[in-house]
Amino acid sequence: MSQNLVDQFVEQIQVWIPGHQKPTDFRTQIVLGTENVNTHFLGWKTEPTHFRAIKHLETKNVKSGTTFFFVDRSRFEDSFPKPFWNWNEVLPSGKLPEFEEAGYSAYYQSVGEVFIFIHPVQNWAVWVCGNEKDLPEWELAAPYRLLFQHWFKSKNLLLLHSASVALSGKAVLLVGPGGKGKSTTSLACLQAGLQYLGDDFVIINPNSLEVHSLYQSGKISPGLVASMPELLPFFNSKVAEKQCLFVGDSRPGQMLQKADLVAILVLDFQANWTTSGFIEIGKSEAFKALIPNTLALLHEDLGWIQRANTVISGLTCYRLQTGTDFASIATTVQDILQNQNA
Amino acid sequence: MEERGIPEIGFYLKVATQGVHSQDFGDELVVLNLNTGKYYSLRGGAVPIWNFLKDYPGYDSEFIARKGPFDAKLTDLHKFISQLHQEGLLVESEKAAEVDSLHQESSKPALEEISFEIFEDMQSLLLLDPIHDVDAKVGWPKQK
Repeated sequence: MSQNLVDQFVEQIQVWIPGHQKPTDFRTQIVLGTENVNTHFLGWKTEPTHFRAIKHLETKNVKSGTTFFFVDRSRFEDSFPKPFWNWNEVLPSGKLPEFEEAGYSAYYQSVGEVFIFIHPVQNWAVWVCGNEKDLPEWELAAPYRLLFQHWFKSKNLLLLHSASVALSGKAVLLVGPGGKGKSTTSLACLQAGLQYLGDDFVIINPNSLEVHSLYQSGKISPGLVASMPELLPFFNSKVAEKQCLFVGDSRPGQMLQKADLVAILVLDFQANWTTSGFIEIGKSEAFKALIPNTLALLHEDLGWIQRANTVISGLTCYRLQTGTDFASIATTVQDILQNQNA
Repeated sequence: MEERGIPEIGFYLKVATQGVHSQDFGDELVVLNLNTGKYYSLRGGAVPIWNFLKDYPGYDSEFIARKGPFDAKLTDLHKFISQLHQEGLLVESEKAAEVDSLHQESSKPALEEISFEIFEDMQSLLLLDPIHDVDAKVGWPKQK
């Protein structure tokens, strides 16, 4: 019974999408981790505001068998197929279990009324919001996350709550809960000339230990902007009370798509310190700094932990003790990267 | 099979598996409880006790004190096992595991000090429910 209802709903989407496509729709291709993906924004004639955070992933003239469709229901008088499921059965992660039982993947997020559906066999997915204008402010810096997170699973990729910077193609993950300095550290490194992969979420290939960029946005508290004079002109957006810059737009030469991971740096900011330093730590410290807060944000399950732990197992882990001197932070990260590269 | 000890907590216990994950790093064992949103650091004597509970489910602290591969005070064991139970990391067990090849009492090293640290900083985020507190009317629910 449930299988029939799911299949009917999927068929409705498969009829609805071609019926609402227009030649004027904004379409492009992006590189997501190891995959090329066609993106098709139904009803958008120009580049969507939220696309800016992933614009650096844009690629041209690359064929792909995977297509993501993006729908704002308010643009279509709410004609998108209506839910058939019982909302009380939606799992805490947002997963709609009927879809998994039928061989698909579907999730709902009440903030922004975001629904995502992934058809793993036919290689297409749809991201639907109630109204683009009602999306939470953080979506400007990290858009379409629910879709990316669950699609990555089918490609053996992981989304991690981490910043990442690199030198000569070798990268470190900067990890820790919110407020520990992921953004500040990554932007201090950007200002000092290091390569940038992201300040909040990055894509990891746990088999090859490669890190891939997902969002080119960098956010910082308004009070710290003045401490980064070289980046100051580029902080031209505001996201959730933070100043935001788009690194691919302002420093395209430093925006990196992917790199080999060499270490994990657990951030430990102390306001009463000036200079920075680092010490090697056990993998359990990295586990505690990375896994619980990523789980908390992404509502992942226990199977995900094992895959994420393979990343920690394969890398050297350090505690990066940061203070108020941003130049010292960047120099310390550079020292670690140079030691790892040696 | 050995006779089981008298249960002080009221029933026999085993390590919970639903929503509970442990990762052993040798000198430290980290346990995540997705049911409560808490995570834990076990060090010193807490690690071998946890591993014993995993390997031999269904016994009480008196039995573990006698048959575990360590020399431990019963009061320390009982306090720690009660804590694990209170945190939902141990659940009731219907039957005990076979214990044919357990250590002899004469060759057991002293148990290190038990270190059990509780972290609650991620609790509110881990327990956030994307559907709870929404108007579940026909159509797409909105957050209240």
